[in-house]
Amino acid sequence: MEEDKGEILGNFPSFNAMNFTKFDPQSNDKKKKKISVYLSTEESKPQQVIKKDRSSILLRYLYQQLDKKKHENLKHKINTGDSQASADGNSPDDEPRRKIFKPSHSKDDVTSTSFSEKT
Amino acid sequence: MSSNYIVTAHKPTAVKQCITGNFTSGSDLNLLISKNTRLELFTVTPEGLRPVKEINIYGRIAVLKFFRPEGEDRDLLFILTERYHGCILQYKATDGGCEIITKASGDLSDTVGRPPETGIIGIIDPTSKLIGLRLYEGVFKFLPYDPTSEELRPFNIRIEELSVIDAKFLHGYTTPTLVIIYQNSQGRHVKTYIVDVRDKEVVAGPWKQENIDAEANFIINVPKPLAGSIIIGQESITYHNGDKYIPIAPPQIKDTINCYAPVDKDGSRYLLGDLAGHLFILLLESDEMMDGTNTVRDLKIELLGEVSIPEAISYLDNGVVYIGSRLGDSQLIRLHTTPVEVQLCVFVLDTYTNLGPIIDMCVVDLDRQGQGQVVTCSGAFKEGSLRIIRNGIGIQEHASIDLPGIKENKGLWPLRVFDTSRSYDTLVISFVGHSRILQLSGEEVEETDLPGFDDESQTFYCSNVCHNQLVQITEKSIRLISHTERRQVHEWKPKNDRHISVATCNKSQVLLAIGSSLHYFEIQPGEVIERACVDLPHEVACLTIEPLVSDPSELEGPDFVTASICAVGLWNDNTARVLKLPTLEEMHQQKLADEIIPRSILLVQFDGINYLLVTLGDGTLFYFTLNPETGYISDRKKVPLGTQPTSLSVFTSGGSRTVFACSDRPTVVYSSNKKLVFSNVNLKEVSHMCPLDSDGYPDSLALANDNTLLIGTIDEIQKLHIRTVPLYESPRRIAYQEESQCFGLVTLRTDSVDATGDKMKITRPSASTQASVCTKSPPVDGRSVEGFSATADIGSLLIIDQHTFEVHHAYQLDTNEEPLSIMSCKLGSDPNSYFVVGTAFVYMEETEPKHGRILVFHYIDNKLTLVAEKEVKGAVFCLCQFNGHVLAAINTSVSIYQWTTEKELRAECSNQSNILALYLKCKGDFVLVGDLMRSMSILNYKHVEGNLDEIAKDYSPNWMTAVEILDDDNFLGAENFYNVFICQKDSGATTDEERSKLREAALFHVGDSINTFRHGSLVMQNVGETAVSSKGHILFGTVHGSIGVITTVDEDLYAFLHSIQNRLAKVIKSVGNIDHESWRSFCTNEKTEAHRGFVDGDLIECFLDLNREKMAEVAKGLMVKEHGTKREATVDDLIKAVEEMNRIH
Repeated sequence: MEEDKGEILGNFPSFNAMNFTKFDPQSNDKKKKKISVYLSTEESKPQQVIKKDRSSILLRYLYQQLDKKKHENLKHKINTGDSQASADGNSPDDEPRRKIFKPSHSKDDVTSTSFSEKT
Repeated sequence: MSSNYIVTAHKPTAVKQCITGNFTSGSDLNLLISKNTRLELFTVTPEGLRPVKEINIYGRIAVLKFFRPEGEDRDLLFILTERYHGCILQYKATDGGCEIITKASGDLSDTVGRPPETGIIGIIDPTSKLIGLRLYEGVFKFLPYDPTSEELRPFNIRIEELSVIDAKFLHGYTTPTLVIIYQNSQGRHVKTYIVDVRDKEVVAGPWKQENIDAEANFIINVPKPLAGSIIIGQESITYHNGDKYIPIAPPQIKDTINCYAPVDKDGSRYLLGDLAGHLFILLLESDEMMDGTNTVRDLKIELLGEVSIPEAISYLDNGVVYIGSRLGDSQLIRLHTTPVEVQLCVFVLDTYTNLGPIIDMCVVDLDRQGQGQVVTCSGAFKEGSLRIIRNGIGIQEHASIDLPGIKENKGLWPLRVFDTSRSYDTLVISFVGHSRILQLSGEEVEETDLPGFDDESQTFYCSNVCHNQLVQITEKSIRLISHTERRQVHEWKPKNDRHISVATCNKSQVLLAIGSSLHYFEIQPGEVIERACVDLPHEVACLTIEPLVSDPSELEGPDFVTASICAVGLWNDNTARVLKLPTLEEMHQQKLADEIIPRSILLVQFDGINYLLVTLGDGTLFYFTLNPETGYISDRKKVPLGTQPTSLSVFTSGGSRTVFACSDRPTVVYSSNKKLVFSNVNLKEVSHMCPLDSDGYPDSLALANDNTLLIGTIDEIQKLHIRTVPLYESPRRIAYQEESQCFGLVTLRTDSVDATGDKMKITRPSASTQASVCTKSPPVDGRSVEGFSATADIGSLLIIDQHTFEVHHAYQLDTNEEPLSIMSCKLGSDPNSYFVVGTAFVYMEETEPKHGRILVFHYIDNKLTLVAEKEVKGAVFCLCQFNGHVLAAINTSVSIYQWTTEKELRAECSNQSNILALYLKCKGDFVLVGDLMRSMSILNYKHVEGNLDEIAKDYSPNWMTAVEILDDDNFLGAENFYNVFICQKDSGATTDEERSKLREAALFHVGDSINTFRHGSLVMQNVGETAVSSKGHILFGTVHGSIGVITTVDEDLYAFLHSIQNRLAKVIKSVGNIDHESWRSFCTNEKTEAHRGFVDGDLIECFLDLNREKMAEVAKGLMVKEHGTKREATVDDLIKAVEEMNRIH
């Protein structure tokens, strides 16, 4: 058991071999410096803005279903790989502003379908 | 309108998270610790952890992650607050400082969604391109991180699993792959998902595993080359990577493992910590395959030892580990490769004090000096402790020299002897019958001789004086020693071999007394000349000839200032007298006290005001303002400093005059804004002190402390000093009883139950098992518990000495009986003081306790007796002394119990209008009740009818955590969403309906859960020194271990501070781009309302750290009221106002 411990505890990784070599708990106690508080008065705007996700999961799902359906229909009908349906991408910001047209699915249909089953 | 000031006096100390990374630079190893709203950044160095910065975030930190996007030379920091504000920060070193750049920020909340019951999850995928967040149940939010784009666009994806316990991104996949533990009615399961960022969907991942450990609570994602995941459960640890499934059920693991830290980069070893404070190491044993890949063969786990109950662990470097604790002190430990006895492989290098969680506290003035001390019930389980917190100035000890007998020393003086440069090099210590001389060379101290110095006598005074001479005054003579000739050049002896009784001198003047005759001398080259002599009516007890200067440098140099007046204190008539120099003509006298003689007197000028300070034999200090022209002293004020004779010494600290009062309670007296401030020093007893500015110890003080000579420097500001009394069990409530000089404390410990039967075993020695006397309650509730539990909670009442903190007595409650409340009180006409304890019988099968007890104890002559007990129908959540009765909150009711002459409790009346009455405070005939979920209400006790009627209530649905009465009309409450609010009773309203409504007058977001409010103050309340126009100091204690102060300020000051606050909120830029206004807004899941009625002291006091230029920016255009007229405020007006607020804590 003790030997195991040796193996399991040996060779601790080192980022800088010097770290903690001069650690003196005695002096550390007395010299424990107070940490200074960061205060900024510099004007700085964040370089990037995290946008709000305004899209509805339900709507996105419905559009995806619709697109898929269109895609399949096209494939089915024209039977060519070059379909236009998937080309009009659905940027999330556009979605809520789009006019909502009623999809052909019933609501029950939507909730019973889950992602895992889909695949 | 309500106008209050709220400020943190002690910052939070409970560690929630800690992470390591290369944040300050690619070659630095950093440790980042989060303590609620504050981050502490450290760099790992050979000397240990070097503090870099404390960063305050306007929000409670929920997620804290380092990540390194491609092309970055160091890590970025992702932070998410509990209000779902996200930001990405970067460290930038600047000239002499640093800047924390907010690279990205924004609101990540959604308009709809249910906050997750299993907590917020935030993860970053191994490529640093995708941040995954679970902020609402059933939805994952993904934030793709693209460093080049101007906007970051997060998107939500619904997943069918509602109760997600933990989630991680897996290593070793080209597309982001998520692994989650989720729970459903069948148990807990693991599942993987692949995140399709482009199509914004998730599809089922490469593997899943159903029915894993029923308590599996987190996942470790193993980096390459091993890859895969480790699932940590209650009883088992499992490695899973889709192909391989290796479970182990190690017998060492008995408690829930709640945190981990990877050790090796290759992911082969992990440190695991459990809720009992055990530290384990987990090893993935692997085999290298033919194709060069590694696969895991087996898992091994070893117990390393015991640490503070960890909340987070970080492996730092070379076997050193940081243990962040929420329930106890955090630690820095070193892991030993070979087990050391007892401690096994863990060696504690350092501990970091943590007051959290503060469950309860009381404010007491143990030393009766007008300064409160806070005693908190801190920590839980094995980390339970009492903490005694007092405010004071710290001495940073640089050297301590053991000098047995120094306790009896009669004085300490510094001299310049060997080198006549500016700094001192010699220390003279005087004893009865002899003197010792210590030479300081560098940091070395050794005993030496001084030519011309009489070391066979007690020295009354010695000093460097003008014309390059030294003076030594002993009981026999004044000896003048020439520096250049290194010998005595002159000696003055009293006539008729009389003995000098007291003496003092300055640079050129000597004042001494021989019995009742006072002599004044002037020092000339080679001689001291007696200029005057007077006979006083009584013997001289103490004297001073300190010149009155504001700038200490005026005492040095060729044009030094001489004193034009001196002062003495006399025996018998106990007067202080001011005398003119050189004639010794009396200018003024003032009687100090009837019985007690003055022991030390000092003339000193602070901030241009002249003071006369006198201490008496009982430790009292009197101080007067002095007119040096007339010698007239006025404005007498009295402050009790210690209990023993106090001697005063003056020294210079930070360029201004400061007085050190040596006694059993050493105190520093200084002036701030033309007001004297008295601050305790963190030393037990100091008999004498002198300033010591030597080469080895610049700007230091030498202090005779016990049997050591201590050399140290003094802190510039006062701060809180904390003493810990470990209990090793959970403290619940505390009450102080002055009559018995004891604390009553109720605690809870966990014993293990023998599997065979009811036999209980103490798992760990703790305060309740190690008391001098232990007694047990006879069984009252013979109910047997259904089902078997391996542990049992044992409640106790402990009687703890206020001086030694020893446990005199432990009274163990019945099985299943938990103590909930305690108070110390006097009941009815009974002269005794009692400890009253409220309890509840707690059974697993009951949704809420159905019965409890009120127990009345009397502790006298080291004996604890149970005087009375009363069974009640519910849990006694709170107790209050109310007009000599017992007021108790018992489940839904608030009841009054009378104390009969037969010493029994008799129910008088009750009020039943609560869901659960949890908190009570009373004032006069009024009772403030804090309800579980129905905010606060006011009850009125009508003596005649014997009724307790509700007269007003707040109709907001606030879940309360603490309540307090501010005054007759204002009531303070703290609630579950970390807000405080003040409700006002409108007694003047015209209709009954209006009168019955409490109006919200002030709202504020504290950001921490407040468990307790107490009236009291941490700073000394000086007689006649009202520093601020504020009243009613209230202290509060929080879950994260912070202590805060709330005080009511007058409306003018409030308006002034409020406008400073508004300006500061603009001038000081928040880290992470969070608005101050929204951070402090009162926010619950029901409503969000702008804060009002409180000024944020934490922001206000940042003003003092700004540079002058920024201060001016804040001050610009601000108006201040002075003597009824308004004028434009200057920077100094603002500094003065803010400093005054700063001084209340």
